[in-house]
Amino acid sequence: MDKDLESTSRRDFLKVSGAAAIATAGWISPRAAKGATSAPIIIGHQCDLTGGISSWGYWHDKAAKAAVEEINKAGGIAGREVKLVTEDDETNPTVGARKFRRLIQFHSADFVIGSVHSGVNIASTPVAKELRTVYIPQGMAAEMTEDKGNRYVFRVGSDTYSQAAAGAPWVSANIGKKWTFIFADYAWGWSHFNEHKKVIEQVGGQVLADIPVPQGSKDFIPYLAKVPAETTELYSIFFGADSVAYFTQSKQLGFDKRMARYTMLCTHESISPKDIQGASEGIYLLEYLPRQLKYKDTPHNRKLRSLVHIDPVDGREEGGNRVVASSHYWAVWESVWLIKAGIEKSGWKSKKDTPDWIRAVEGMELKESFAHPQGDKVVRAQDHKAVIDFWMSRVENGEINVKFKIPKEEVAKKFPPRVDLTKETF
Amino acid sequence: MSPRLRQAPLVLVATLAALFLAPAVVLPYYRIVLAEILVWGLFGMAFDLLFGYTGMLSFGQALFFGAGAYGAAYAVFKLGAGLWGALAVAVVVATVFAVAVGFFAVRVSGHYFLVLTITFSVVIFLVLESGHWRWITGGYSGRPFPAPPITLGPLSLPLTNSLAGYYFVVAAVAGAYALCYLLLASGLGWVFLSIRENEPRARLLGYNVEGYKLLAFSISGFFAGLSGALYALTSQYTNLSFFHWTISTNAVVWTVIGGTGTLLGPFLGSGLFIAGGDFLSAQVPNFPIAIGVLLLVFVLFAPEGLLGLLRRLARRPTAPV
Repeated sequence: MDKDLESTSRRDFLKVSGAAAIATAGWISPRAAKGATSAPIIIGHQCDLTGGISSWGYWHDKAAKAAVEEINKAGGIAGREVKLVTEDDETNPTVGARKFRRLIQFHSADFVIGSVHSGVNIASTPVAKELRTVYIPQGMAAEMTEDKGNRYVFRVGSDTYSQAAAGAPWVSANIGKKWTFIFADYAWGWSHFNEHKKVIEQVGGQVLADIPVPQGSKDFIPYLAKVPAETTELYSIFFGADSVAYFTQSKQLGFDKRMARYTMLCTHESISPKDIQGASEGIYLLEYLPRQLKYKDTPHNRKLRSLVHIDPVDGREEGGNRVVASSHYWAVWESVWLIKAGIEKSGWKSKKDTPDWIRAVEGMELKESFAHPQGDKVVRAQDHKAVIDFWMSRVENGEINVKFKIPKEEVAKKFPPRVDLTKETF
Repeated sequence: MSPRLRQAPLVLVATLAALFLAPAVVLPYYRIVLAEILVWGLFGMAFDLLFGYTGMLSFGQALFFGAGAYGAAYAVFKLGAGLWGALAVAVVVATVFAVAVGFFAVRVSGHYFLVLTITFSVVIFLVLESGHWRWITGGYSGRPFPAPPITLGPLSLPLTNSLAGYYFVVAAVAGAYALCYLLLASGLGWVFLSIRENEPRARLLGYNVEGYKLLAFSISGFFAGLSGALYALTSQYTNLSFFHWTISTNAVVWTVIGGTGTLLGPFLGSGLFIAGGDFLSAQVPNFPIAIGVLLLVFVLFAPEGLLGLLRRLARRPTAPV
């Protein structure tokens, strides 16, 4: 009948048990007790080192390591050494949630910086609350710091909500008010569409059509044929190969001549426009930190770029071909420094002081500095979202050139908090 | 009853005892890992019921895992159900889903069956993934939800407590294992095996082959749905990737590595891959390559799976099915 039960003898069972015991020997290794105030502060990094977004994870890893190294060089945090522990989430929610636990329950991480994969983030947010650990994810799902988040989750970078608040008013005012959306027919694309639509209607714009395209589509012509002729800007949001296919085909059909094409820098993260044969030439895109150094040529930004070894124009790694995930890697760097700022302000000494850290960071104003090279920002108390500057840029001659800076004060006007996490008890 | 079959309860009792005692000696994190291995092993077992015992290679089992996970989450999130209600909704949804898909799938066999199950998987995933189904799916990034407590009469334990959650999973998986064992040990199990071994002969003997295949498909869907519900409830979130056909391939790989046509094999396979991946990812950059090499080694040198390999190493002949 059942082969395993029928033929598994006691001797087999002992062999299997013995092998399992050897394989899992590390599972019962004793761990040093933490809590002494001289012990290192452990920062966990749930990083997309393999899988679909590993080209971004590579830069996040570099940024986190550089930040911890710089902090330790300057004496650590409150006189304590900082230890960074990195776990690969494989860009996979099930693995990511497990690795999040591993960082806290195995490596004893005091704080965790998260993946850029929103699915991994959403899988980890309930565990952050369960294990009472601060989590600073890098994904862009707005709801992570809203109805799907909790008081332990903070954000330093942007989300779909702030991106719409930053970009849509400028585009409506400067390019035209008749929008058509062509986007990946899954909820990420819909999230961009819905967030933008609200802002466009607030500023007197008009959405002429929404054209969802199934994921993995290689032929965009049937969808591009639905774009109304009177469209002034064609907003697209696709990922990876779909994105390149869209840029290529919309250019081939002359859409770049008939209307403005607009997108987020996410569609160009770790990609140089020079590497896709000019398919995105002329497109407008929203940046969260300019890829070119000359548009944010501050000593702090220069220093950060030198630490991760990238060139000043394309953001290409020195001695290699990798292109920086320029709109996201800085947020990982700043996350480490946010942890430091919170510890110093709250007097945090161990995990039991985490509520004090949270109260200290809620509403914290961060000044542009080596710690925060992207610019001044506020970590809003109510929804733990960061209110940051954006830049409207354009692809010209294979380079991403900034056309206009959108200051955080302008962004805030269309970006009011939608939840109040401060009411949530610890 | 053969001497080996008589020893089976002893092996199971010893395994259960080891699982029972494990929390006393392993770190809290590994309670979670062990629970996850059991849940994914149950998913593999559901697949093996179909493949190893009835001869149907399905790449669509993720649909029922996802249905179970979302059924449980929806019951908690929208209907305010408790743990038992959520489990009941989950297995009903998954089983109904399995009956619907199986109704069409079992009408073909061999490669056609495989292609049909992948097709169902891809189409349903794409439909759910589109933004139109956000009210169920919670969006592309999934949905977190609070885990309901384990209630037993006046007793109420938080499922998020790693110890309570662990024992809950051990009990649920052990129960499912026992139920599956009893089903397969009954006449029904022999009918499934006869279909796997010689479908035309089973038909000639008067068995309604399509009916029995649909029954196997539905039972497999029930157990896959249970595993999905257990995963979602203990990890407190859902994600659309649960429906993706690549989740089905996990079950295939774990079962092949552990040993097909066995109930224990999928648990060994999931254990090897999850614990191995957990260890290797911290040691080896691009560790999935190492996992791939391991898979190749198994396929080439131990096609009978881990259980078969252990038996071979013990120089014992493989028992006839």
